[in-house]
Order: sequence, then structure tokens, then C-alpha cells
Amino acid sequence: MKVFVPADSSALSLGANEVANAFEGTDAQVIRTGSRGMFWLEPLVEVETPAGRVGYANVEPADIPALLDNKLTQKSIGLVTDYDWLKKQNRVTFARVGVIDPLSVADYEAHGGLVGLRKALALTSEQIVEEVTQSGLRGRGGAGFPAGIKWNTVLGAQADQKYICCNADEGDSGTFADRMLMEGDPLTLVEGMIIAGIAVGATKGLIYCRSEYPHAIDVLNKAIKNAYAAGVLGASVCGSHFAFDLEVRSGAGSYVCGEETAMLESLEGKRGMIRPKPPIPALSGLYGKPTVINNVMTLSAVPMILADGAAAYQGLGVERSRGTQVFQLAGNIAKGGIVETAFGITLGELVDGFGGGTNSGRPIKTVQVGGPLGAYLDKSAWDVPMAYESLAAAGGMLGHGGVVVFDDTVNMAKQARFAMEFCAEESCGKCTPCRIGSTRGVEVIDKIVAGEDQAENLLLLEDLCEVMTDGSLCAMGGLTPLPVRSALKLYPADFGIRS
Amino acid sequence: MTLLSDPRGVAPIRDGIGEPDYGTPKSTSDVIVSVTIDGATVQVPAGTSIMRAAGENGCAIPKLCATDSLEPFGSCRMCLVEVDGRKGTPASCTTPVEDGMVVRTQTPKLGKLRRNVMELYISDHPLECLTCAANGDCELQDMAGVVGLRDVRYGYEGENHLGAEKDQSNPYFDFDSSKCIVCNRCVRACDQIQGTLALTIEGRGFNSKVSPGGLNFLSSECVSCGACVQACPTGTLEEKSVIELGMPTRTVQTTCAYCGVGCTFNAELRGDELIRMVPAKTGGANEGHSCVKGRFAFGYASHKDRVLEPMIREKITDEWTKVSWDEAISYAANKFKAIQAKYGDNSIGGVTSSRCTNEEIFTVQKMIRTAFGNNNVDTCARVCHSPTGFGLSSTFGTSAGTQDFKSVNKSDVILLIGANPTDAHPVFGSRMKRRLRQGAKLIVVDPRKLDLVESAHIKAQHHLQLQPGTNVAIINALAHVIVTEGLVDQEFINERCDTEAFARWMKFIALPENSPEVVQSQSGVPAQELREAARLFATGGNGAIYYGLGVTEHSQGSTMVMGMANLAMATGNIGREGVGVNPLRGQNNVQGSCDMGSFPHELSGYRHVSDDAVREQFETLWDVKLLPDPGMRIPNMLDNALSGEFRGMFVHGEDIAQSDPNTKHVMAALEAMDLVVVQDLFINETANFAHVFLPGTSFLEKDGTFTNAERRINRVRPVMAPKNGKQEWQIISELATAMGYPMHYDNAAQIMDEIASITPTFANVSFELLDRVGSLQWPVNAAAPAGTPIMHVDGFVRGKGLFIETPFVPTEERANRKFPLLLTTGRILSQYNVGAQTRRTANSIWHHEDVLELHESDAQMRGIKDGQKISISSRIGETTMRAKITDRVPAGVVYTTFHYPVSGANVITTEYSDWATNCPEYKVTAVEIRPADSSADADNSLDDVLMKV
Amino acid sequence: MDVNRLKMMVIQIDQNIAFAGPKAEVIATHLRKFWTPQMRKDIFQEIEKNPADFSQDVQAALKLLHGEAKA
Repeated sequence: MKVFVPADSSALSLGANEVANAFEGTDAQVIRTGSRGMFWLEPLVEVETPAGRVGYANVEPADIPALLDNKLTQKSIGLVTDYDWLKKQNRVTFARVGVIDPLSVADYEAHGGLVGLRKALALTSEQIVEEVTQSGLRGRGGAGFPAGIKWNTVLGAQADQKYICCNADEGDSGTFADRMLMEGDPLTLVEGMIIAGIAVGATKGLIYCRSEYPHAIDVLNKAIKNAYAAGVLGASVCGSHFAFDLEVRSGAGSYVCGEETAMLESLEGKRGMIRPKPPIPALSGLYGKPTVINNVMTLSAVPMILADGAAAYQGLGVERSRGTQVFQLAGNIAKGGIVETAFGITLGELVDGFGGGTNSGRPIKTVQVGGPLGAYLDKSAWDVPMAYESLAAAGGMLGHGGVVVFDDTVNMAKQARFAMEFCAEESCGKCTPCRIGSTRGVEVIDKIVAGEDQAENLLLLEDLCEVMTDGSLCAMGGLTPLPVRSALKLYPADFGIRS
Repeated sequence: MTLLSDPRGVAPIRDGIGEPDYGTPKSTSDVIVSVTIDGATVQVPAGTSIMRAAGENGCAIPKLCATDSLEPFGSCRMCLVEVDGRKGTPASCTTPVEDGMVVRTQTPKLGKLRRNVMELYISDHPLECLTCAANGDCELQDMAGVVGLRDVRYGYEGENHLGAEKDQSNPYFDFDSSKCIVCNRCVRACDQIQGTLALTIEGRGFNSKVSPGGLNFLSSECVSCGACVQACPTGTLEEKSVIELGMPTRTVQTTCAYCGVGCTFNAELRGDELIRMVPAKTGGANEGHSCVKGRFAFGYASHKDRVLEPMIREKITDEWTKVSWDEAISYAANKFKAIQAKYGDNSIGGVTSSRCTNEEIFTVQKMIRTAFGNNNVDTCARVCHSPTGFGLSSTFGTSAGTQDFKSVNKSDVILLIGANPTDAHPVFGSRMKRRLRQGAKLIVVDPRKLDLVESAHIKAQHHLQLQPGTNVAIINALAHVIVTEGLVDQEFINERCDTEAFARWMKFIALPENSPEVVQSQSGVPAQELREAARLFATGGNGAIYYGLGVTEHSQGSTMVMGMANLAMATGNIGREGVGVNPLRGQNNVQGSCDMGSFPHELSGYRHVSDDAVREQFETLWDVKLLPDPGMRIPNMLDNALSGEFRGMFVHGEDIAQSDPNTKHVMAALEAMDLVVVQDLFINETANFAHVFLPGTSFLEKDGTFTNAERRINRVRPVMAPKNGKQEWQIISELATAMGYPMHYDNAAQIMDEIASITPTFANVSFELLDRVGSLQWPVNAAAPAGTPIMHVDGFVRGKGLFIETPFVPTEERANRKFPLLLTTGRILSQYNVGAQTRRTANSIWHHEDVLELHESDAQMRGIKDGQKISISSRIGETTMRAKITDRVPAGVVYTTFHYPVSGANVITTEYSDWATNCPEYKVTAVEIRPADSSADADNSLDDVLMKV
Repeated sequence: MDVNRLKMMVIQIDQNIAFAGPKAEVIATHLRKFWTPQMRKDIFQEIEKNPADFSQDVQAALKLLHGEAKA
């Protein structure tokens, strides 16, 4: 009997290891997988049956004898693939997460892995780049820059060495998609990076993973070792004349290192400070060499694009937001986790539909989309389709796809203050608006809340937001005013403003 | 610090002070693009920043973190502009212009942004401008005015750094963190200009602050080059002299008198008081950089030890008597004449000083050749770079290095032999480090592990750690590999060199005795390492050789110079940028003293005294008969003094009793003479044997020129009146006149005119031209009116390059049972040569005594502990020093510096010298060491030293 | 001047000139160029006294110089 127990950090924190250990001495064959991304069901144990995998939610060690006797019916959710919450999604990037053994190259291949890479090996560099361009894939790190155009720039650059750098410094509050993919299906990322390398002529890849993800780093390292052993990585990728080497670097514990130029500095062993652009990293990146920098989600979408063709991916989504987006539901929410779906789902469908409202049961007051630098939205935005363009039009931003829900007990002045505090805490300290402005922002908000020269200080806060938005060197300082301004606009009463 | 620049960044506010700052470095592109800035269309080289394009065209953009000596950084956000067709407000410093770009630098939106950024700055800055040392020289202050900041609405009660502690540990500058605006200019200067990377930013966000790492500046890696102080736009890093004395009001551009790099400085004064020395961006050798000596260690010039009045005495055991100039001069002249009357014309002579100007040197050698009537003139270059002149003139035809300093920017492989530029030629060392960090390869040939072998972001590909005294074996082995592995540049040789001589040389160098395998046993350098280094040099692109006294101060110094010249010719590394054979000259004017005819066999411009046609020109000009035979070299003079034939000596600014080898011998010779005349700033060791002391002038008082290691003639301008009342060339003229040869000049420019009139390589040089163009590299004549940055471009000066066979002849000075260790010597950054100047400044805080470096195994064997006083003896003498156990030297080799007279390094050096030039073999002395008994413990503690300062 | 010193110097010169041709002339040129007449005279006297201490090339070189001096 095969049972599947997640080894994802989120499941581990809910006792998955204890559950897995409880199978010891039984004749069950335990396979550790990633997580399906339904946190309220963890630990979610799956049992292989002729009909498919049957899931058991919130399993405890004491449940194991009953489970093995097929008597744990009260915890069964039936066939996992038929589970409505999952069924309504369109899992492309996350197709294998929670399904396969993340470390097994054979398991990976058995579930459709390496098909994209093999196709890529039969194409020219230009053809691969064209395929990615046609798919409409855009950077999932937040900026949404078309991946194909970036790759094409690197492809066209002349250099003795080029690099593929994966930005896995997933630091936004309420985001965990990168981590779950790296823990649940790391070989998809590896494959995506190899394809990128072949496409642009890079023979060296680096994954910059935040140090707060020790488990992900461990899984990545083991998976990479296995990929080398299987001949997927190394001097001859899958027996071809292409070489590709890959290694994992641990981040430096700084939020701003998620900004691509600061990440490059950090990878070079320097202090994680923003570099001005130009030159763009595609032309002068790591050690001054042409470098593709993409997010985990971007690179992990690539194998599927090559495997199924650009058209399949392009066929999903709305407007210029093509393919799927991996949303992460978090905060005060009943059903948190991973929702991968085509672009265009509304905020309301995500939060109320998938999320099932707040965990506290109280009414939702606000939702912050796109991490700590994203705008706060209220119910008036429930019908906004989740896509780059439409969210921007509504004053928000998609960012890395994090959706954090708050109930009506939240004080939005405190949230606005927190935005400035976060910036003050995490700013690299290079540019003045961010370095000094964020600290002054906290102080000005305090004065407003305290009712001190409120009109003058509101004007000052507006000026500060303007200088941070227009004057900052990178998105850290540039976007911090977004949550501040949106909170102020939607919830002036929380600031003690008498309208 | 960018000085007092106009807020618009171009014209200086105060008359003559400060240089324009265009914010970003000049683009070197040949492509010209057109860009419209605030309605005016201008043409600039592609790659120019918007900031620089605007500034060069009279429309400076406000800035704080940008300065044109550093790469753009983009942090202050003062320089934001609007560009048509672009989103947002890009920083003009980090945005290069593009053809057809339309830029607006002044709009209401930009005005508000800049004011709001400035408001943030000032919300965390002390409001004490009126009492701040940088008042009037503060870019923050200037910019606040430019953007029209009138109010800080945040108030001053918020979080701030106003209470930050001052770091006053450095003797020359203070670091007041409370005034810091975190523009990173200091950190970047330390990185990009100096290459030490001592400074960093600690913390992040609002807590970011500049830090020297560790406790404070003094205890950090900081080398006090002053680049950070220069770069600081506020009063955060400020010279102590400015803090104490206030802002300078006038400036005089002049040349540093320390090493052979020859940095141009702006001496900034108020009235006659020198406030600070600021390196000039227009300086040909230094391009705005400096080291701790030139930048800060000028206090010796006004040290109380300086002698300002002439003095005489009958016997050296008598007390000195202060006399008038006339009395001193006639006393010396009469005595010299009396000696000649009794012992013959040949019984007196003199020594010129490489510390003095070309004009002073020229007059001294002229005095000797005319008034003394003989060729007994020599120079202190005898003891440092005489083999350079011999070796390079034999092979190439010119007694000088082939390149300008800038050339190293184009080098791909640098072969560094017997030189330690980061200590001894720091400003050039920084230039070299910059190139190495860009990826040039480095081969170090040195018995000692220098900083350059491995330091921040630098690692030599090969360190050929040879036994002292085996240079020639090494250079032959390198050439052997190149010849036998077919790596010679045959095309270059066929076209440029004497092919017959090449064939002879090739046969010689291919002999098995020159193979790496044989040389390994002589030098201790593994054969494989030699082979790889040779291949790298021959095939790695532009190969450049830089060398110092570790090459010349050997019994085979001249042979080694020729060996390097052979190697450069064999690999085609001569006659263009990035290559060449380059001596790093020790003294500020070694090149000049050689050029000016200081050697006993040569007249100015390296023309032999036996050349009738040349002599005739001088005889006509000087109206005197000259001797056609070479005169005595310094060691000949000293030897002859002991045998009684040589009885009177004029010593111009050189302390031979301390700097020449075998001190006991030198002292005995000096003591044997009837008259020793010393001209110097201080009573030095030699002056203890003198009968006449003529006070000299410091470089701050001199008017003339110095010629640096790249043949660059730099102007030395008087910053103040001579403290002794006379220019040195005046004193010399008076002495010559008193001896019966009338000599008179109205000013130093006249002397240069005379030099130019009689020296073909100087034909077009004049003060007027130098003042107009800044500096010139000789030859400067009709064929090269703008000077010659790189020599031998179209052919060798001697016609065809001459290969000369260079057999390795081991020195007689070898380790033996009685003296089993080899002592070699070098210099340290903070001190200069015998220390007469630097020991009279606060530089002694970094190096207050010479120590003997030795390997752990040698120490253990003798029971010597780190820091212990030890006695060092050679067959010549004995001295004591403190031991420093280190892995910088290999077992069997010990090393020391020679900056303190008490160390007496030359008490133990031997009489051996270079076969061709008699340059002493300072770099190899067989010694034995043992723990010293406590009675010998003459402690030279830091406290004592600082008291003296 | 101390003749032993001159002796040492001329031996060193002899060792370092490896010219594969008329070496005596090269040595003579060196001494002519850099040595004072007195030094040349002193060493010549020494060679006359103790010829065995000097190589053939050095002896030939000094004879050449002596001839010039007399002429």
C-alpha cells in the first residue's frame, strides 16, 4: 500500500513528520511529496487506490491504524483530484506539486518531466526564445516584463560567459508559491533554467534562495545532485552537446535582495545594494556578464510552454496577462493556500469563492494584493479581474500573486504605518527617499493619528509619498506609498481624520 | 572634497581654488551624439551621462553623490531629470545620453522633487553650518541653496544620527558621522580610486552608516590616502588642519617631493600658511589621487629641527657657529681652493641630490665641472637606479622607462619584479590594482610575499618567490622557455631589432644552464611555475614589466635590467600602450638628476664627456675647458678619501652616512676629508662630519621642475618664500662664483632655458610651456613638441633594439655557516627612505620602528619570540631590531625596512656592488640573528616618537 | 685607490660580459667609458705585477687601454 505524506514546510509545521513516522512498522510504503496547497486540510495524507489517490485531512498519528484499515472515513475527502477546490483550478506550474517525489528524476519524468527540455534540445536558440515570446509569459516576480524579450536581449549579447539567475528570494508577506514549488517539484525549476540556458547560450545557473527557506535549499540541493547523476545537468545535458551547471546560493536575509540588481550584488558577495539601471542585467548582470534573471514561477512555467507549445499557454488568461497565475491566499482566511488559475479570475472569486471568507468569521475589511508594497483594496474591487492591467487600473498591483485578507478589526492607520516601518526596516539604504523617507513616514503618520497639525501633516505625507514614488531608485521605496495612500484613501477614519 | 565649486558645478567660487566637477567620468568614446538639453542642442561623446553633458555645456544639474572621479552611483536623487518618451524621472548621473534625446533639467516637478529630497537630508543633519569646518566647502550647503530649501517640515525631533560619536583617531582627518549623508562617495573612493576597500556601509536602511570596520579609522585597513576626505561632499571627513585653521583662500599648484610618481597637488593656503595639500585631477601622473605622504605628511617643512642659517666649524668636533651667507660661502670656497692648490684639481668633488629640482641639480653639476674643474660629480641615483640607465641605454638607447603610468590601464599581464608599489609608489600602485581588478594577470618576482600577491580582490597568478640574488637566473629561465617553446615574436624582432645580436642571444639563452629545471636549484622557484609564468607573459596579450630596487640593487643589477629588456623585445612588448619596461623610481627626481648630467661620465641628456662635439658645445656656452675623461663615482671618492687623494666634498641633499652601504666605511671616509660641505634641511648623519652647513629649501619653497619615473617634467612652484632666505640654485651660483667661476641666474626659468638650449631631449621645454600645458614627458623637441608619453614607438632610439647576453653570476655574498640567513630590505607606505621627512610628521604613528621579519622556523631554531629584540650581524657589522615572525618571508630569508637611523640597516650591508655601475648590493646580505641581551634594548617606543612629532 | 677593490671590479666586469665576439674590446670600452684615468692606470700596474690573477680578455683589454694612454 502506497501512502503519500507531504514533506512541505507548511505540512511539517502541522505534524506531517509525526504522521509519516507513525507508519513505521506497518507495511505501508510512505512516499514524501510536496503539498497540494490546501493548508486547512494539512496534514493531508493520500492513499493510492485503483481509482486514484484518496485524501485524508488533518491526519494525526493516532489515526494511522484506522487509516490503514480503511476506517478513517470521517477524515476522507474522497479522490483528491475530484476535490472541488482543486478541481476548479488550472494547475500548470503546480501540476506535479504534491503528486510526485520531489527528489526522484524517474518520478518526475513519469509525470511529464523533461518533455519540454527534450523538445528544446531539438530547437535552435532563436526558436526557443520565439516560443517563450509567443506564449506571452511575463515575469512573475512582480514587474511583469515579457520573458521572451528579456531572453532575446541576452541571446543577442556577445560574451564569453552568460548566466541564468533564478530569483528565489521570496520575501513578500503572504507568499509561498516559490517555496512550495522548490520543495514539491524542484526539477521543474531546474528544467526551466536549463531550457533558458540553452535558449540564450548560458552554461551556468544560480538559484538565489532566501536563507529563511532551509528546507527548500536542502531539497533543491538534493534534487540538483540527482539531476547531475541522471545526466540532466552537467557537461552534456541529456546527452546533448549543451552544458549546464547549476548551484544554489543562500540569500543574505534582506528583503531588498529580492530586487534583481541587489540580488546580483549579493550573489557577487557584496552588500545587497541596488544598482542603477542602465546597464540592464540582460546586458551587464552577474559579474558584468549578460544574465537572465527570472523568478521561480517564471522559469517553472517554461517546461510546460515548451512541452505543450506556446499556443496552449497563450490560450489561457486575459488581455496581455497570459497563462496561469499562482495565487497565494493568506492572512485571515478560512481556506488558505495555492490557487493556480488562468488570469482573469475576480478578486471576489478568489477571496470569497476559494478562500471562503475570513478565518475569524468576521466580515472582510480589506485585502492586500501583491505583498507588503501592494495596495489595499476593499469590496468595491471584488469584481476586478486579477490581471496585470486591470489591477493597475484599479490602483493595485499583482506583484508575486500574494493575497492577504484582513477582517474588520484591523486598524488601517497601523497598516499604513507598518508599510513605512517595513520599508525603513528593509531599505538597502542607498537612495535618500527610501532611506530617510520611510522613517519620516512613520513619524508623520504618527503625528496625523495623534491629530497634530493634521492638515499640514497630511500634505507633508502626500509630498513624501510623491518623492518616494518618483524619486526612489527601486520599487522598494517607489511602491511603499501604494499601501499607505490606499489605506488613507479608503479608510480615513482609521487615521482619525474628520471628513 | 570637490572644492568650493559653483553650485552649477563648473566655475570655482573662490579665486583659483577648486577644480570643476562634472559629476561623472569623461567618456572615451569616439562616437559623437547629439542631445537637446533644456532647449539647447549639444554634441558629446556617446556614453556621456546626461549630467556631464549638461554640466560641460554650462547647465549643471544639482548633485550630491556624483563626482567625476567616481563611477555614477545614483543614490542621492538630486539629479533627476525628465526625458521625452521615458517614464518617470531618471537620474541624470546614471543615464547615458542617446542620440536625439530631449532632456529637461529644470521643471516645476523636478524642482519640487529636489527640494523634497533635500528636506529629507536636512531633517537628519546638524544645523551648525556657521561653525562647521566645511562651511564654504560643503556641497550639501550649496545644494540646499540651489534647490531653495526654506523649511524642514518634518522638524528635528524625529529619529536622527545627530548624536553619533566622532572618530578622531586618524592623525590627519576626523570622521564626524553625524554630518554624513551616506552618499557612499568615501566608500566608493576607497574602492575605485585607492583599491583598499577599507570602508564599508554598516547596517541598512536608516541605520546605514559609513564604517572603517573594527574600532576606528586608525585601527582599520585604511591607508590614509585621503581619497575619502577628498570625495566627501560635507564636513563628515575633514582634514584636521582645516578644522584647526579654517578654510584656505588661495592655491598654488605644485609637485609632491616624495617618490618618483610625481603627483600634482594644489597647495591650499591662507596667506602664507599652508592649510592642506589636495591632489589635482589635472595632474598627469596622479589624476586626482594621492597617498598618505604627499597628501598629509608635509609638516616636516616647518619642523623646528630645520636649520635656517648657514653654519661653519673648523673641526667636526667643534660646535657649529652661525654665520652669514657670504661668510659661509667664502669659507667653503676658500677651503675648496686651498685643497685643490695643495692636492690637485682632482682632490674635490660633489654629489647632486635626487630630491632637488632639475635646475638645482644642473647648477650643482655645472659648478663641479666648471668651478671645481673636474668631472667628480655623482648622484644618489648611483645607489638606486644607475643600473636602469646602463641597462636600458645599452639595449634600447634611452636611460629611462618606456611608458607613461596610464599605459598600465592597457596591460594584460603585469610582470612585477623587485618592487612593492602599494607601499613605495602607492598612487601608481592603486592604478595597477585597478587594472588587476579589471582582470589583468599578475606575476610577482620577489623573495617576499607582498600585499599584491594576495589582497582584496587581487591574487597574483604566479609568485616566483626566489632566493635573494637570483634575479638574473629567473629572467633567463623565463626567456629560455619563451625561446625554446617557440613563443618569441619573430616579426617584431625581424623588424625592430639587431637580428645578429638576437641570434647570439638566442643561442645563449637556449643553453641548458638557463633552463627552469637548472634555475630551480639556484633560485628555489619550481620549474613548472617558471614555465607557466613564461607562457603567460608571452601569450597573455600586452605584457608589461614594472620593477624597482629589488632589480637594481644587486651585483648583477645592470645585467638584470638588460635581461628584462631582452624579454620585452623577445615578446614584442615595446613601443605601444600596455607594454614596456618600467622602472619605479624611488626619489622624486631620480630621473631628473640622471637627465641633468649628474653622472661623472655624462653631460646632460646622457652624452658622454669624451664626445668632443658635445663637450665643445658646453665649453662654448660655459666658457670653460671640460675634461674628456670620466670623474669619480661616490664609492671611488670615498675610497680615495681613505687613501688621502680625495679631500673635499660638496654633498647636496643626500645623507650618504645613513643611506650608503657599509656605514662604518662611509663615516671613516667622511672623517678623513678636510672639507665636507652639506646642504640640507636638517642636521643629518652626514652633517655630523661636515665643516660647512648650508641650509636648503623644502619643496614648498622651491621654484623649478621635477622629472618623474615616466619622464614627466612637472613644475614645482614656490608655495612660500624660502625660509632660509635663498633658492638653492642661488647658493650654488654664489659658491661657484666665489670659487672663481662667475655664475648668475635671475630666476629658475633661465636655468631651464639653458638646459633646453644644450640638451636635445629638452629642446622645447620651458617654464612658460609647462605652465601652459601642465606637464611634458621628454623628449620634448621639434620632433615631439607635445612630448613623448611612450618611447620607441616607431623604432628604438638606438636604431635597432640590441639583445645582450646575460650570464647568471651568483653574488659573492652568500649564506654560509656563520651567516646562514639572507637579509633583504624594502620600504613601508607611511615612511620615506631614511625617514628624515616622514619621521618628522605624524606618519610615525603607523610605523615607529623598523622590525626584522623572519620565518617561524628560523625563529624557533634560535629561540626567538615575536616582538623580541634581536641582534643582526653580518661580516661587516651588527645592529639590533625587534623580531616579527611572519609567513611573508620564506625560511632562510629575513627582511627589514630602513627608515630609522637607529636600525642601522646599512651598518651591516656590504661593499659589493653592481658590476657596471657600482650600485650597492643592498638587497643581499648574509646575516645571523640571535636574541639580543637586554642591555642593547634601546627602546624606540611609540610614545617617544609621538613626543618628537 | 684600493687596488683590491679595482681588481674585484674588473673581475666582475669580465664575468658579466658574455659577448660572443671580441670581448677584450668590449671590456676596454666599458673601462674607457666609466673609469677615471687613475683607476685605469692603477689596475694596469696591478696586471703587470700579477698577470695570473686576470683573464686573457682582461689583460688584452688593459693592454689596449694602456696603448691609448701612451699614444
